[in-house]
Amino acid sequence: MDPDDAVADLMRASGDRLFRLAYQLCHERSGAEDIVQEALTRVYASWRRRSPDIGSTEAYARRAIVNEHLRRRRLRASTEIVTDHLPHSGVRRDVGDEVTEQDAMWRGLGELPARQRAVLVLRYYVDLPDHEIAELVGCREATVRSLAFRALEALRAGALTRELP
Amino acid sequence: MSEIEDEVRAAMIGHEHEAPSAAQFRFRAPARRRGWVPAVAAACLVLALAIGVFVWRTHGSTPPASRSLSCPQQYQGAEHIGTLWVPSKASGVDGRHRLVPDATPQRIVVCGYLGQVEGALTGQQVLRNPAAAVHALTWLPGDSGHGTPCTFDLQPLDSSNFLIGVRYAAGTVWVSAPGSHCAFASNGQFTAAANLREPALGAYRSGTWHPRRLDGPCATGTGRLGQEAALVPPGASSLTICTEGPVAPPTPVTVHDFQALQESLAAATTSSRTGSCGATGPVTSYLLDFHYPAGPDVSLSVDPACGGLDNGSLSATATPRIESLIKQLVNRR
Repeated sequence: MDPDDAVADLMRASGDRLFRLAYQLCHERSGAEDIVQEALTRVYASWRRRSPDIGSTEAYARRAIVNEHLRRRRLRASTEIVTDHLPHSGVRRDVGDEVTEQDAMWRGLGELPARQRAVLVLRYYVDLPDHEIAELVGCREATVRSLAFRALEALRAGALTRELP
Repeated sequence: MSEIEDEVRAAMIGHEHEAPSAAQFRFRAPARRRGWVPAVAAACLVLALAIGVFVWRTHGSTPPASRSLSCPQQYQGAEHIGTLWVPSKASGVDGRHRLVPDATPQRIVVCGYLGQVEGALTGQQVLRNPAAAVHALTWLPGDSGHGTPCTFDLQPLDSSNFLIGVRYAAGTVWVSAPGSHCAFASNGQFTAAANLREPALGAYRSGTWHPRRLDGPCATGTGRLGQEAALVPPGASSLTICTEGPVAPPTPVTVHDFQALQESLAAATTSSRTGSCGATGPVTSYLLDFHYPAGPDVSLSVDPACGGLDNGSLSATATPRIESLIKQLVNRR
């Protein structure tokens, strides 16, 4: 199969899934497009070296997306200030407030360091086991657990702050 | 699973619809080398040269930049500071309703004409993150034609100019970003109410378009296309209200049910914004940040000390009903 066809097949079968993963990682639509473009470029370039089934191609693209996200965050790290404080938003009361809580949690996720956020996305959004996350992020399984723990602690601290009267 | 894990999962799922769609995405395949490519390329080159010579002889000089997305060697009219010039109007894509189309670009080049009164090309950069650049440019609000307050001092970039060439599958658009601190950016048909000299210089130097990062929920951004026609363009999905004043609550309030306020704002009589207001006093003012499923927010300041409403493009009088509705939303928390 031609690499053009392979990428087209991948986008048909898994495109939306890959875009959602990229968006969960970077929280920006345009950033997600650029990340997916880079990932697909890698799929395209490596096509002849790999097995042609769509499942393994998606896994490869997913890894490329995570790597590209972490690479971009490293490049931008010197210009950003990472904080573990969430904005206050008041006490939950109704459906509207629940949505507001979700927005606050989303903003909190956006403020996590890149690796912590990647671990949470792969664990709770993609539902991968820790050993696969470790492989994708490029660290040990214990590090995945540690990153997830620290991320959840930061988010929990933010949620508690929001619930204070 | 703990409660915090449930909340994390819910937040992720609750925002997944904001992700770009694969259906709207066009993959830009990298160039590949094949055995027959050099021969075909050489033949194409000879043919292109022959056509070029023919066109040049029959029509005089034709700027090649509009087709090939290579930077023009000269920025025309550079002797006049703030000159808006593009090599050609948008071709194959719509340039009348947005600065650049909201679509996946194939390639973006930033051409610099730095500090040159003669307007000679000093360098160019192909951007590594073209989608981010298009996202930043496509949503810029249009110029209402009344200009913007501008000081008459000479600033370092004033005698420089930039061109931003954006190529899509369907065509090309060029954006002129004058270095003058008093000039807006334009594609020749649509002028945006934005000065792009700083981001253009950053992109020219680094090869990356740096999106403007907003600090906090009520930070004012570059605005949103459509705010030059309506105080709050339709389609807002949520609203964050930040309050300033002697009795202001400490935190912003986000609401999702604000139809009555939106209707009142739509009914307000608007006029083009004429300038800024520096009045202060013991009066409560608000910043309403309207969020949309895609694209930037619209920030509307509600400042009774300054006479009313201002979204950066339009202004209007804040009626008692509008102020009352805002107070109701703030106090509903």
